[in-house]
Amino acid sequence: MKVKPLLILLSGLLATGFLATSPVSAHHSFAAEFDIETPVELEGTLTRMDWVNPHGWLYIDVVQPDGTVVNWAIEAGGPNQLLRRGLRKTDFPIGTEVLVQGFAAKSGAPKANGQDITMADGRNFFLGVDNTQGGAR
Amino acid sequence: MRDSLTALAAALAVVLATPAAAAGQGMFEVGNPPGPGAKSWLAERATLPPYDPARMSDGRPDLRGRWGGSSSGDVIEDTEYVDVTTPAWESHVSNPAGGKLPYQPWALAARDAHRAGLARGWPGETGDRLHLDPQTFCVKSAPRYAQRGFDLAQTPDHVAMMLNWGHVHRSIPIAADSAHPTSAATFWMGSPRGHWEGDTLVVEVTNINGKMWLDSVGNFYSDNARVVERFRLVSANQIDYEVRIEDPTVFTEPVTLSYDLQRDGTGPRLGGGAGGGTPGPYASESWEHACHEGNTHHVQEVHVLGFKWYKGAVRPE
Repeated sequence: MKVKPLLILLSGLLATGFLATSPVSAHHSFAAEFDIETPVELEGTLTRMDWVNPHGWLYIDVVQPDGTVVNWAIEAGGPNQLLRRGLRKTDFPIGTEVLVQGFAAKSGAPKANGQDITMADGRNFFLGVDNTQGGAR
Repeated sequence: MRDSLTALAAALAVVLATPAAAAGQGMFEVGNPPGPGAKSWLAERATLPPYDPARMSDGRPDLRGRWGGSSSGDVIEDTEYVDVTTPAWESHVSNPAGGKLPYQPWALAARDAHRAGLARGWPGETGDRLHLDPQTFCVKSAPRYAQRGFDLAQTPDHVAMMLNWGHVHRSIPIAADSAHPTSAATFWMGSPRGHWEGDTLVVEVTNINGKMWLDSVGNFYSDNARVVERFRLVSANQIDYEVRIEDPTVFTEPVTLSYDLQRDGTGPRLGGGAGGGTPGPYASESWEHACHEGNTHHVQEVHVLGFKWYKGAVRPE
């Protein structure tokens, strides 16, 4: 479990317009709070899932290269969006290993806007705010 | 986890090979034509045949139903593509004809100051953080409420609009003798009063608190604004939605915004805020969206980053 910024790869994907997941919508304050130039990939253990509006939040323990553990907060789509995509809170059992891709907070806090999540069993979900949804914020 | 990483690498490889797949997920890509604004809608409206709407028992057009949002973009003037969060879009301003808001000099300076302090990657920013779009804090205004769509209920003496977004609602009295409250009472959504002009529902909004922007990039009006909304069915599934903003404190002349509202599920713009285009048996239902419930993270981030609460712009003496 470690932090993998993958800056070069994902920045390159952004520049060429080939990013797989929606980078959230224009009416969102995403651009002020999160940095599209700093994509992050976080691999860790799920410690908590807040199934709340306007956005759900995942918390994962990520082991740093020096062995210390940092608890990251990952912004997700709101419950209504996740539900309508077929996700349930039970899809996020505490203690499961997850891989999250997203964009780091500009504040430097261990927070990220989540875009994509891969579960330990290989299932992969779009985690973010659906641009056509308009119901987030 | 190693398997999932392998799967991720495979997925990325697939995406690289098929860029069109990304567009289906709402990503704003450079090079796309501007999204439709006032110009496109007025051109389409001009091609529509005369329409005689279904009517309520009182003879008024039946506007009931779930209506999708007026715009999925959120910049009221025309904009070029900025980045993946800001696509190219036509202006929603139909008057003045140039599509720009007719600011008085002080107000243009204020708008530019708002924009210079957005820190979201727009051209001309200073890097300072001034204000964030007030909507970040789960509040709505008129006319911006319409952006996300709503359920509309109608009786002879009231029209109610109920947003999924944040549970914002407005109850509009339809009565010639229904006066607005004292001007000392101001509200985010203002005070609405409706009447019919032929088949057009006209809603006058006053008592606006002036603490909301007109879009997410610093365009604004003041507590001196008077907003007049006009709703007219122009086909079974389209409402011509025209907004006139009179604000002699901020603008040099009245502003008109022109949109179409599409009945949810009938057109490409599916911003109704409930199903939002996600198919399923509950696609047309509003589900609870308790906006304040989990907004603490954003409020904290905004303070940590140094943004200040927007209290409304004041014209210098």
